[in-house]
Amino acid sequence: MRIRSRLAILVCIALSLKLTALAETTVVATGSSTVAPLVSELAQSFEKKHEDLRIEVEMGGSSRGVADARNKKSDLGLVSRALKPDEAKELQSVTIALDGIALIVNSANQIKELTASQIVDIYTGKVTNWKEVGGSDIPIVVVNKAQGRSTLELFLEHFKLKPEQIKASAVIGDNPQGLKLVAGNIAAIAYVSIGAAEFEANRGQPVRMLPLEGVPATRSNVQNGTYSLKRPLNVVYLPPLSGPAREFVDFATSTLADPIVESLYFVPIAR
Amino acid sequence: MFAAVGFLFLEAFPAFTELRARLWSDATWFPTSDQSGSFGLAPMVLASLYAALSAVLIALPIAVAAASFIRFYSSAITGNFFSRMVEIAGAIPSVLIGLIGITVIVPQVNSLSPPGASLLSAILVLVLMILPTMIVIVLAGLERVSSELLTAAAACNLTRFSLLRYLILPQQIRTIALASTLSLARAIGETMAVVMVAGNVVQIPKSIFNSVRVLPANIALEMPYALGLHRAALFASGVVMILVVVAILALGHMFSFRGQR
Repeated sequence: MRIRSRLAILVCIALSLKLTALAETTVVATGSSTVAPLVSELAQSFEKKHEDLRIEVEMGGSSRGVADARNKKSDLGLVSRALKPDEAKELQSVTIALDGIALIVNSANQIKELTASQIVDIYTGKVTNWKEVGGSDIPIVVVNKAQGRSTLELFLEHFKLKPEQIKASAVIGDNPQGLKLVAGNIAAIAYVSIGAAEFEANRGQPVRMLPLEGVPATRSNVQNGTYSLKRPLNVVYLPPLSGPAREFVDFATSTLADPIVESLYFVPIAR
Repeated sequence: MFAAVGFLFLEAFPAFTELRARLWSDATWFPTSDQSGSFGLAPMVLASLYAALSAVLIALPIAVAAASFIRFYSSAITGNFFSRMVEIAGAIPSVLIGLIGITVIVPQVNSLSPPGASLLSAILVLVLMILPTMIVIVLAGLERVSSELLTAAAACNLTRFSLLRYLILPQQIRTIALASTLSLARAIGETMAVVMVAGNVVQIPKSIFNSVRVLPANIALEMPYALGLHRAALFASGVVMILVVVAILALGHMFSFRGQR
């Protein structure tokens, strides 16, 4: 009968899908939205050489990365910061790349450098005009990042600020938005990922990265450790790690991964 | 559809039970703050309303003028051409309009008064977004007016303008109300274009040049990173948006009934 044969076909399809799924091994990685695109790209490259391996990547924030790794909901957790002491008791962490944050201003802005206390004053609204820090007589347009973003958290942590203390003129979501805003406004100051800023500056966009504490904001300075506003991009797991997940992590920390890391504007780890 | 709305309410539930009136009375929006956080939606609700209402008020006369021009003042070929142009304009994705906003509109507004990313930029971008659909709806209403009316008007020595002003447009109140309410609902929900140009600082705007954050932009900016109560509060703001849109549509219906004679 028609119904029976249709049912039979459906059952066959379902079984064959299930069987192909069984033949595949899946590695699940969840966590930081900063690390996720990097791991996604690394996974694509890795999967090419390992036909029946699938690496699933999901975002949800560094906190989710830690939680899922702890509860074994995932094989690997993606975390855009160092592990906290209580987390490090259970989890093992491997750094696969570095990310730095640069303060950017428009190229037409004459300011050469800002001290940490000047930056704090600008972002908390104590200093509102560029002339107070040695520039022209123009009100400062302060650009901040939206809450929840790890870039914001790193910025707050480095300058020891609380979110409520920041008095921003504009709030942006991602790096390209921040770069466009600064490129189009001579009075703007913002902070974005170093790699993204370097890329736009090399493309001819009128943005300039400010040195921090005398150290120029370049990717090589992040790598050699002299630039301080940086964070590690980590993969965390509950030891021991074996099998395809282990192989993937080894791949991610090898020199083969460097071109992929750089293509996403991050900084490869120093070796 | 009901399942989707039901899901929204379900996810928003914790925010309504734990926060209740604080969603309105809290002065600021710092949901991730250490000390229990603040969840004031008021500045954003107001910003959404200001931006959307202003955009509709500005776009309406333009839309009526454009539709009248296409229907009554231009030849068949020209009218057709402009009609197609409007349809194409309506197909431009909001991200592209946002790009135009951030590269052209924001620097221009900035030269008037920093920071450029402001309520004014949001309004201008919203006008660009809702204008095509508005024109299409008003035009559809005008097309139902028979061309014989034009001939009869000429016979009575009536100008096209008088005809429009005293006869046709008053009769079109229902269509115009429909166009306005639909565009208002669309403007309130518009996310991508607005988040790129509005500045996104959570504050009640004291001037049109102040940076503002509208409700859908808030959801877009923070949802990827929100957990727990913060997440529930974002869903709650989505529920608030739906309620506002429903209220607008209800008002629109009421108004269009009155317009009937």
